[in-house]
Amino acid sequence: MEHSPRWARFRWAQEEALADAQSRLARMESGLVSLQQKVDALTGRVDALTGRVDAQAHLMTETADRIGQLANGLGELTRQLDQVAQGLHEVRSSGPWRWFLRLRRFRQECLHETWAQRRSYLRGAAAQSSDREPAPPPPPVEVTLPEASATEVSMPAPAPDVPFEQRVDVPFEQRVDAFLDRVAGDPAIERFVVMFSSTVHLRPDVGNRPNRITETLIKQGVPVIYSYWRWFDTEPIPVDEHPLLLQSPVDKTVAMMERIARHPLGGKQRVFIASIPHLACARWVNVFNASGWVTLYECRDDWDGFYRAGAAPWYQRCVEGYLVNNCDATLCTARALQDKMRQMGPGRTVVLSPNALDPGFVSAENQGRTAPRDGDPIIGYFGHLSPQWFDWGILTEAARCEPTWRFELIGRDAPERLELPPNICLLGPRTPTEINEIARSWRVGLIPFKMGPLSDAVDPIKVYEYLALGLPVVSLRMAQIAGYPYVLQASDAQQLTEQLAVAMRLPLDRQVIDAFLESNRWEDRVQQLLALADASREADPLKGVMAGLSA
Amino acid sequence: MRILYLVPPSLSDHDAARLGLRLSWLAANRGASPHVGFLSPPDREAAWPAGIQVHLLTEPWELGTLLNECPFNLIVVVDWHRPYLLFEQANPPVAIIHEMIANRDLETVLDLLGDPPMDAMVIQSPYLHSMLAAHFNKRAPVPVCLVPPCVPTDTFRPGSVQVPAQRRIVLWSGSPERRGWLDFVPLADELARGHDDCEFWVIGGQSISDQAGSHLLRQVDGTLTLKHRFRWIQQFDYWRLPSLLALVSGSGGLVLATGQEDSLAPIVEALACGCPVMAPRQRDYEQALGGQLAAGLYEPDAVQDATAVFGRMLDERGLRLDLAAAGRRLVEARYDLNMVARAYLEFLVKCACEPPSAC
Repeated sequence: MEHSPRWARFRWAQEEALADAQSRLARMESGLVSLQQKVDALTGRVDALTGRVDAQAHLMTETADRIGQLANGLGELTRQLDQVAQGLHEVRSSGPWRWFLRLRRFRQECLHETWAQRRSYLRGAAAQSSDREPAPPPPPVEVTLPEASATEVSMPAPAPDVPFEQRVDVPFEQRVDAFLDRVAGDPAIERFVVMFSSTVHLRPDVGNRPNRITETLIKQGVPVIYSYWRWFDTEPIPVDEHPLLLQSPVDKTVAMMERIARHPLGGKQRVFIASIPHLACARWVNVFNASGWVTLYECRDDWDGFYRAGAAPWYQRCVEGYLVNNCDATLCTARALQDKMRQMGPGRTVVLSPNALDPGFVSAENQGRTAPRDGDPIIGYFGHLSPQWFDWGILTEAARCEPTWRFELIGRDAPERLELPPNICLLGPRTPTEINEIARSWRVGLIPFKMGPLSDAVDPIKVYEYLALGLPVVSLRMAQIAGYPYVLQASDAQQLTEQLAVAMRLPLDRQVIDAFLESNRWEDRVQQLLALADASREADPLKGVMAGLSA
Repeated sequence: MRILYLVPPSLSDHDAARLGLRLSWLAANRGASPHVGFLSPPDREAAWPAGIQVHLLTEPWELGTLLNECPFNLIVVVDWHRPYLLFEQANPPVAIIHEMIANRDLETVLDLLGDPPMDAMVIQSPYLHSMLAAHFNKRAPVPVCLVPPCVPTDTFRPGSVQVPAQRRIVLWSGSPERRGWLDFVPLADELARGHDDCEFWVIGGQSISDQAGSHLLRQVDGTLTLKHRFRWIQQFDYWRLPSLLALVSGSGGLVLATGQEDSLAPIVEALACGCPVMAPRQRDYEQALGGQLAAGLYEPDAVQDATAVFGRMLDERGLRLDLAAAGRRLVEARYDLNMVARAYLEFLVKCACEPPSAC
């Protein structure tokens, strides 16, 4: 059948419309798929956001609960604080307290003791000094150090009529700022030292190296921020009545490192001493360098050995290596440590700086004396008695071999349930005054430390003190002190008795001892330290940035 | 025009200084009044330039009080997201701009952009711009302005520092993140092997944890050559950077950027001071270091290529001089503070005066 042209056009138009509709339908289907995908994606995102909202809501509920608990706790603390304040008020208004204040003022105004003398007086309760870490700190107590006399220091002493409790209320950060500003403004001060130590705060009964160096620096008019270790940030901070000393607990020191490092301190020489390979020292050492400070690392123990023995879990060898390679110089207390540090930092400045003697240790009666060369065979020891260090086995064996000899041991931390022969006498802890008295009858000083790499890296302070008391010394093998005058060494119990027998009869020349001690005082170590600091000035390119900037 | 910048407490001192430069320019040149607000105490003290008011708004209602007492024309949220939670309550009647000064938290930003609480965005990096375009199918849901890092070219300029250095300093100045160090240390160790006279210095990283710091030192200690020639300066005064960069270029060293670095700012600062820069051929580096400066590019993960580029840049004095001049020209042309801040101000004015969609 023939279709008319009109029909053909109509059909063509219909087909055109159909194709167009099909095309639109296909596009719409495609769009629908796309829309569906977007809806799915949005649904997923909504789910995720809903989950996060739920989590936030949960968190907010928990936070609100916690805030409620804290508010209750705060109320309780406030109540307790009120009670303490009331108690304090009662104490301050009591008669004994007023008498105490009068007595204190009388001492400050009338006795005119130097700080060192009064510190020496306070040291009446001191135990034996040692270069080892002290025993765990005793319960926290406020320590008041006596003030310096006006002739010793150029900085103004704090007003004597201000009780230290009032100054404790000043925020610690403000005390640090005030200390730094005071040092910066005093034209008589040429240097300033930050001692980053791992030991407890300065106490009369603790006489390890950082303490001694700090005390000596202060005696020489160098102000020191002494950073000490504390286990809890609730432990009270000692109030330093000496104007050249500010003691800072480690947590506060670390928090204020930036402020300290950046303080210009009036262009004075600034020295940072890391007396422990602490990560904080590694993190800040180059900030100190970049700020123009002299940086020193003081290696005073074989920390790596302690770590391997399980005694220093905090130690990281990489931190110590980094300090040796980034400080201006490293001071080592023993040759073994010096060799080790030189390996860690080839080409770096690594010097030997053994421990030394505090001349104040020896009483006036014992000045210039030598131990008796005849009479009762008494051998003495003072120091830690902990079995980690002290070789009880060898000593007991030696004592049994020589029952006529008497071994007098002074110190704490002796192990319980010791089965000792009767000729070993434990005298307990004694003050330096008592030690000076007791040691007058000794013929030999003993150092029976367990032998090994740890003791090879030790330079015991007591060897200087024995010699100052005029005693020859017998030790178990200890590499650092092998060449010291009148020091004999043994490796076992038999050798120990042999060497003790020799030492008891050894003729002593006091001049030889004095010549040795003359160059082994803490003053000598401080002198060496400061000379190193002088030599280190601007040798470091990083310090050159500072110099370049100022130029 | 009053502008309130809400900045995160963890803002690094260098980022704060860079932001402060622009704010200072705004305050000095066009009479704008920038304010900086912290919603919690800043982690470290930052010295904001004169003319900028700093507010510590530790309680949520303090923001509302500030907005009521001191009507702002704009709020700029810098690199964090907490302010948006407060805006839901405060509902400030002004345009809000989100400014990214680093590419951190990119995923969170993309989440936010799903239902954007802000009216516009400011980003520093062309790489981020392209990422946003790709994510949102060529068009981000809010207007985006690219404000590259910039330096005052009169302060950051080539100089010389007289130092007793016998070694060449290779400086890595980048974002202090552990992942960046993971990339840096092995590469630097490899480069150090052939050049005994080089020291490798890293600046930045004060905010990282002790754990991350230990990790870095352990990683360095485990290398053959780097452990005796490595320095980490975790905090360095921004305004002494020109001096440090002069030391680096003067000693014959260069600035090394690693593939994990997201910000161009350290590179721009180095180029401004005439310091040669070496970087992997990726991300923003390829776009920024064009022309002559491309001599400092190396193929990512190709140690041999990196070593060759390193040796050439250290040893060819002529090349170093050419690169120093080219770098300086590039900074003057594209990263000068005056030029960048002017464009930035125009964008801010537009956002404050016109509907955000027109930005």
